[in-house]
Amino acid sequence: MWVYKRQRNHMSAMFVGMALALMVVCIYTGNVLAASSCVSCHTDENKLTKNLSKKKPQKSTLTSGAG
Amino acid sequence: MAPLEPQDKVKVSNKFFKTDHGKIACVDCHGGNTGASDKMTAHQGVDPQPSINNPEHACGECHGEITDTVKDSLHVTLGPFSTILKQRADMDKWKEIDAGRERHCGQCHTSCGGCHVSRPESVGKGFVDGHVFSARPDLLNQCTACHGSRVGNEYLGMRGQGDIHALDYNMHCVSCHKAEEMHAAAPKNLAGRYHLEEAAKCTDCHKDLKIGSIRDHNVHIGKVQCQVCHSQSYTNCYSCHTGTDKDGLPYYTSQKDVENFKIGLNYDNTAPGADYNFMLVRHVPVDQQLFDHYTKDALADFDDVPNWKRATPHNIQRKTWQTATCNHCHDNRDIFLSKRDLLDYEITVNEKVVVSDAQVPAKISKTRALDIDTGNVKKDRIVDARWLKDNIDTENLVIIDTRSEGVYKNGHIKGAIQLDPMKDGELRWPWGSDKPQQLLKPERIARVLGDKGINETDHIVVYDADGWRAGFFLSVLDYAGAEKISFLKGGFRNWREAGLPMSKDNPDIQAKTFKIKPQPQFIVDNRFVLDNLDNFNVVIVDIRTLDQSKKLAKHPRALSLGSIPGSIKFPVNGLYMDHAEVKPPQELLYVLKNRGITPDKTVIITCNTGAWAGAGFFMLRYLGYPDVRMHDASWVGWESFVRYPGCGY
Repeated sequence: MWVYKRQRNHMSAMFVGMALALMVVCIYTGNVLAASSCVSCHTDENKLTKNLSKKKPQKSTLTSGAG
Repeated sequence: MAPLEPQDKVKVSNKFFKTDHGKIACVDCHGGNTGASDKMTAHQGVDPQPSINNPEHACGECHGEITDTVKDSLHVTLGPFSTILKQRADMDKWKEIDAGRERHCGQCHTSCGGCHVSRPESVGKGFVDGHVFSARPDLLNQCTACHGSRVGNEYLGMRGQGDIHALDYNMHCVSCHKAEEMHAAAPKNLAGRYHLEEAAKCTDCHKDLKIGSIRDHNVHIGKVQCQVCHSQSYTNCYSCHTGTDKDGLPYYTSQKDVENFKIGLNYDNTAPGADYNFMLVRHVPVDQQLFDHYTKDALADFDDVPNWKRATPHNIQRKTWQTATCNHCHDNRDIFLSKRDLLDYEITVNEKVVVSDAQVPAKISKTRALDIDTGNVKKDRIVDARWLKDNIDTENLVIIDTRSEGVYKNGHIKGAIQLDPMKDGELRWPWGSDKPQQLLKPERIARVLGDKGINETDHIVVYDADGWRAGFFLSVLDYAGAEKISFLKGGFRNWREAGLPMSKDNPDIQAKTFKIKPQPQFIVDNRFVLDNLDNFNVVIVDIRTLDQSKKLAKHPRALSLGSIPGSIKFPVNGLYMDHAEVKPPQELLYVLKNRGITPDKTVIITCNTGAWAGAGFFMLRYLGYPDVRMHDASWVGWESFVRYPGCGY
């Protein structure tokens, strides 16, 4: 009986550990996925060119002088 | 600095991910919508500039001791702008004035990212190196992107000869302006940037000068600012006005800028290291109507702060015209700021800066004579507006305007004929040909000149806005054997400001026959340059600006950065001042001699494609150099020649 209790405690600890590890993996994977979605666009010149519009210039043409 | 395409601004390089910053998840600094697959959703909540909007989180978690102070640094707060403006302002209108200040002056403020990752906002942002963080800011894309029109231009020889710290010692801005200064928390209400304790000073490196071997230091330290002796002329700006255009974009216009050199009285010796009587002063463009667009009479206390202010031009040379001999300053009224230099509304405000006649240092009686021979100067090769006005109706006088067609059409000297020497294929082989940008065959050049109503016996007066374009065209005329050629000193601007006759009409051109007499001795090819690299009697002068000759940037058509081995770097703007002004010939001969460019040598002038080389060639011929030649192919041709010797460049 005492041996069985020890086995049960050991099993619980193992399950908790696995759950924690799974949570860490999920968080890490989530971050990696998040980074991946940024990276997959921001390293692909074709994607960037397609998705970015030529913005209107922010500087007035009336500006003159050395500045 | 070439503008970046939108995709280049935000493209992250793969090498970034190998760096420490690259191992941090993007969302940790930038936020955004994790796991999204489309742009709009992914960008919800994203902060494109976390170092501006949330520096403590983005940078401070690792660089806490820096972010603790940098948030109060001058680059972030631009504090002295407000401090000084408040001294001039009607404080009842401060809200409107501050709105104007933020909209115009405040655009240059920056953050960690603007110095270590991206170009600053004021120049359109964008990654400098694919998001890689650099501890040392990029000199061209970051430091001088903001500090461009004065510091950058003066340092890199876009005005003047450039600074010896760049020229001879390849020093970056941060060699003097270290992180301790850049990151330092500036006290609130700091009187000005020179009052920052951590600000760079010459004596940080140049120590113990007063007890050193140079007698002039013993005599002048404590009386004269270093730059008085060691700077070249620098830009001064006038009358900035701000406004909003029809698209709602802010703009400014400054009335004019002038390259000049003035010594004034030091009216504030409380700044660290400023224990001298005389200092260089620069006219700053603050004007009583500066913020009229926002509120009238904003600067009611305009007279409280001088607008001839302490200057520290970044164009230091060991030997300058001032150091050539004592009496270039002593007893020289013109070099010191006087009431005559002031606009009528500035007289009161600059009273404590103006040097009175009694305060001009007395003449030094015993000085060594300067060894400068101006006997060979071809004086008739430079004329001014007054001369041209008096001689404009002379028969066979032809005036050539070398500005672009669009600028010419907006107004030119009456009777001037437009010829753009830089127009592709006009005087030089076009890009894409076998000899890109080299001079065309003589008969082609003769036809171009004849069609413009020029023959070889005319007196041809050439003008420009900046000077070097006219100089280049004059070099082509000299090569072609034109008998009488002149450069209009002061260019179009002086003519216009003198109220002399202008026109928008094209003059009636009578085509002529130009009997060309080519002067082949004025041109050298790549083979000649290669064969004379080690010839002590030959001096090769790289006349490009220092960003190019020091391999920081390249001509758009060049294959690579670089310069011809052994060439002396002397930017063309050391010969041409802003707006086509020219220094006296003895001063030009002196500065050339100091760089080892002397008339006893064969001087070969090189640049990128030959245009600046031509401009330099004209000036040295004017100064009487007996053997000066243009390297027609220049760098763009040279690098192809050395890479592909058989290809005929």
